[in-house]
Amino acid sequence: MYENLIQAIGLFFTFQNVLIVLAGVLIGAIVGAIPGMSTPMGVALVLPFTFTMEPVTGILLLLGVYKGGLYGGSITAILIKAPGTPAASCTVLDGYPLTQKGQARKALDMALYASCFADFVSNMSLILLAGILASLALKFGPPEFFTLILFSLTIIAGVSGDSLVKGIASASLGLMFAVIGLDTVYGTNRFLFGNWNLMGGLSFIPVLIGLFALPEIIRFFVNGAADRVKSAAMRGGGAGLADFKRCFKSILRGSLIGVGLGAIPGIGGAPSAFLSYSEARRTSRNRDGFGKGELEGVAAAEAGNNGVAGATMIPLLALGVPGDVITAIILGAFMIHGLRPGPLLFVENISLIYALFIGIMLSSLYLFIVGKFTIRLISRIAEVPNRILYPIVLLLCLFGTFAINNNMFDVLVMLLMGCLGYVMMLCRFPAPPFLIAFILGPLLEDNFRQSLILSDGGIDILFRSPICILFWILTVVSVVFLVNGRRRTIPFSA
Amino acid sequence: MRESRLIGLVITVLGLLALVVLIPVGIVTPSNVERLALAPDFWPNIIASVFVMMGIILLIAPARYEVPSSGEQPYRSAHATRLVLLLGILFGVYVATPRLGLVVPAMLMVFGLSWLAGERRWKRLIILSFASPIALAAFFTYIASVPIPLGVFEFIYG
Repeated sequence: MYENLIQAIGLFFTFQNVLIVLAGVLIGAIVGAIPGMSTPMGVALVLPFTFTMEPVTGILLLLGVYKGGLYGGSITAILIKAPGTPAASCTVLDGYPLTQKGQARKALDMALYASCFADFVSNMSLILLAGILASLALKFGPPEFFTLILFSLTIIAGVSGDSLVKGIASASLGLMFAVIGLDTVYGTNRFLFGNWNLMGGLSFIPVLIGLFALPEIIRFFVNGAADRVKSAAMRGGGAGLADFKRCFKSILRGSLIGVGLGAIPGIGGAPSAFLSYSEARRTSRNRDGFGKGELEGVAAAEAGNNGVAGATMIPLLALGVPGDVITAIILGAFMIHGLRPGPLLFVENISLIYALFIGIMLSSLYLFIVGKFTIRLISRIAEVPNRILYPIVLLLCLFGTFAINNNMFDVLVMLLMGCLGYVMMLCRFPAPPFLIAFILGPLLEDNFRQSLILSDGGIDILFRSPICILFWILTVVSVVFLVNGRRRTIPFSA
Repeated sequence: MRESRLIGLVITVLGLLALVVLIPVGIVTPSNVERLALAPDFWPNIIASVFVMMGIILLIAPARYEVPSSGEQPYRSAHATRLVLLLGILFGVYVATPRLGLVVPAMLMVFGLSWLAGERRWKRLIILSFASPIALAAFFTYIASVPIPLGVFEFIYG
């Protein structure tokens, strides 16, 4: 173990890696702070820049963007009542009233302290639990992986927006697009129609950028949306140790809620923030002040939101299944670098895992530094008008997509996926189920077919082992709970 | 509800089209497949069937499985001319790149899009549309070692 740790330290501690995590957190905080730009969009735009990097460096950059994005969403939520991310909408409830009272600085400080603490707790849970889970998963074969991936597909219910039926239809479309290419068993063509560019299937990044970046940009240009308002001045004194102590109980509770919900595929930051907030309000002595500018409300929402960051990486690293859209994108990034997250990665490349852990821990510290010293800069950048910002984002999409294989076919795929994404947006079809299914589809099909080959065609192999049965039960229970939960918790379903 | 029904109809038709035309024509299935479940078209057929089922559900009971919208208007007021202009610029870049390289079409794209979005300060427009593609091309060429087709700018980077 010590040898691996020393190797990991050697792998991580390069000048480039130490800086890249900081750069990732800063980029994420900026992207998160810009209303209209989501964290998945930020991760998607940064992904092409990681191709030529070492796997550790590239993945840490993406993780930095993810963590920075979660925090950045709170900045504009507090200053201009425009949450940069869905999860930050809970921070608005008390953050913006604090700004109106002239205590913006205090709210921003508390959001930062709660975010950093929750992020640290979440990272610790990742380090402690991922290895244990991975060692259990070493016993998995194709049937177990098939049922596990099927279970993880239930996250589609959590990211389906306002219609589960449309979410499943969107996922079906994603699965169908994932089928394009050569058949892995017989080597025959599937939907090539004479175009040999499609032999290897559709590249992940054009699909990702087309679905997550282009529709928002097309909508802006077509609707001629108004440019954003200026931030309120960051007035008032900052939050001190006494404020942190007063809110500590809510921060700790929110962090644990974030860890618990983050580790379950499909729930994400928004429900965690709202649950943490409602628990804080229920137990607080100042419950009447909630919604009118209570600092504890900001702390609870941000702790719940950021508590998921490390925990969503647990199923990704240990089992190779993503917990949400961003970890699905990071799974794609692993694959681009020739790595497959899951139990085998812990056996074959444990030093890489440790190096990632070191980088993830460092990101908590960087989050604090970025939040403390660059908040004025971030809020200024968030004021850049969309008429300047979006053409540059489009330029990034163009160059980033071209850079994958150095051909214009990927650019064409990105443009067509953008058109599809825009039509889906018009019809209120959610894009995340499409992407998750697109990534998990080939894994699901391959494991299904490998299982059948192993059993000489007998379908009973999928029900034979206790692990398979456990995942079948979890899938059914998860579907029932998620569907019932959607009926009751409308704000959480987005 | 009418909109959901229409979407349901489109999904059903597309799914049936996939089942009847796209899959049989687009997927080559060898004659020696022993098990149905191992055939290359088995999985696509299941996916298309699920797609059709979702379409039928939207068609029959559009409101039953849908959480009411938060009140935000869907994008009905899409301005057709702006959409055509935008798509013209985007696909224009795709068509022009093999002849002109990536940098010049990208410059024209940034200029055209910023103008389309309402930027009228010419100095800012020109600086932005020149500087940003050149900076990105420089990054990908020198730092990421990606051979970006530079077109007329080939001589600058040598």
